[in-house]
Amino acid sequence: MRQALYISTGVFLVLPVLVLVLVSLVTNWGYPSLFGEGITLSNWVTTVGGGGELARSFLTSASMSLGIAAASTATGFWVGRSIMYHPWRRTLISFAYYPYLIAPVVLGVLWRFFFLQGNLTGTIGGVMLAQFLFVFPYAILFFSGFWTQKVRDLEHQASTLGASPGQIIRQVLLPTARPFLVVCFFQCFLISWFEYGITQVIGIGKVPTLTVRTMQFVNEANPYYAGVAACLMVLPLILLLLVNRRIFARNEMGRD
Amino acid sequence: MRRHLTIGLFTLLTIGPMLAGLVYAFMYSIGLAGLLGKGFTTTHWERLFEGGEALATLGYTTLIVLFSLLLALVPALVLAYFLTFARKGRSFYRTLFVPLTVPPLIAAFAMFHLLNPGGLLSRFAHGVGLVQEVGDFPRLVNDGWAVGIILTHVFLIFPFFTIVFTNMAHKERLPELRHLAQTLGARPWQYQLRVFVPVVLRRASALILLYGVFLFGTYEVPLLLGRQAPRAVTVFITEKVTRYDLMNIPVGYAMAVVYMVLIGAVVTFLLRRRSFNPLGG
Repeated sequence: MRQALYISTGVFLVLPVLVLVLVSLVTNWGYPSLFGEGITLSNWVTTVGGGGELARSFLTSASMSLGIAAASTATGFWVGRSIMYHPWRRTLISFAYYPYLIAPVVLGVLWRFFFLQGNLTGTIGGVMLAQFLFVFPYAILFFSGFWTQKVRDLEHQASTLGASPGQIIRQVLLPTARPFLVVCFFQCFLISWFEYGITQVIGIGKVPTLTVRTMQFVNEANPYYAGVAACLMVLPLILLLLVNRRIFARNEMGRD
Repeated sequence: MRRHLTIGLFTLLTIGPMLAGLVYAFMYSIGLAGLLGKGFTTTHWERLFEGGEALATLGYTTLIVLFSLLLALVPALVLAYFLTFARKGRSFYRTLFVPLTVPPLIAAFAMFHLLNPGGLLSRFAHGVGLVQEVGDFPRLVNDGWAVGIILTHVFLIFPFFTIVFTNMAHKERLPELRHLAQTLGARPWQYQLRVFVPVVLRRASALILLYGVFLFGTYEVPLLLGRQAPRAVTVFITEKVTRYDLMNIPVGYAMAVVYMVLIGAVVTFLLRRRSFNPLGG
């Protein structure tokens, strides 16, 4: 019974990913054929090959997500320290929960006016700023688990032993925080990589990330190209999952 | 001084933009801001609640959240129990991580092509003779019962809860507690229902509530797999505010205020609990 449960659950979890691959590889997928006119790479060649539009979208998404992850991790690390060492840390840390728990698309709707005033709608910079404003609180919440009394004691100990502030950062804090920094960077990258709502509202469709392109293809009734875009989002992460599962494991606040 | 600056910057980047947006939305909804701002009025709020569309939207979204959570938590508890005490199942455990690599929009897209009457399941059913044509297959997406939306949510969150519950069971030393319960004469079902399930659920209660909040803000999944009416709250807000009918914009902003106040109340309630610490910080 246990084996049957494992197998059926495994199929339920893997089947949607297989569907994505299948949709990206078929053409004229008429009912009731399973493979349409056959399995072919033509959708991939058209959209990705030779610097196709999805190759450009992939680069746009990747560079935006990497930039947001780097900025959020760096600022979250240092600002998190000031907050967690502050006497009002419980109140201050609660500030980070509110923007993080509000649906990004609603935040996008609420901020649209301000971004319009700043001529930031429809620009990569505007979308990155909007994404940063809700990824940064996550980084703060994430590092609240790192800046504990134990780390503070470690800093004091190093200082008492004569370490300069620079040495404390380089030789104590950064090595201790390395696993946190890596996981936080990856988690922030994922939040940005998965994002659609705020990107669509602030980007008004002009910032062609992979999620935006997927939706555009869906609206154009072109599931095959949407399938390619979906695969470009998911398959690199699955490869990464095979290499290192741990960076996904702390996704305790992954969001819809 | 530098610390004060950092704290100021933090406040400015977190609560500042959110409050600015909320105030603007509220002002817009009472006619004091925006293109239609011609002085104080409650008309837009009256329009929001007339006809029952807004209440239907809120009720529909709440039901989606409750059913998604229920249908995700039950299998997660069962599988976590098996994984906690199983010697085998490592390769299965790895499979649980697959949905963590799938964005909600892409999960919804995949589910659409799996479950729609012309989708992969229907084709399999046709292949084995269960259906003769597209129309014979039940409608599982864009349907009245939100089956596609709930199944997609289950796909996205139940593996995560299984992983969390399994880890919690080990942290709470539940295998040792089982030995103790057995020694004291408890039957397997008594241990499962009176020890395993309550311990795990209580330990994960903050996280479960948090996921309830996340699911209440679900957008991409109902956008692709939902119906025109009733809609999820987020879809209602974005459609009212970003579509072309100017008269609907203040109504959308009024709903955004309702949504923000509801979420704000739940988050405040969660934060007042001393034990609230879902990230383990």
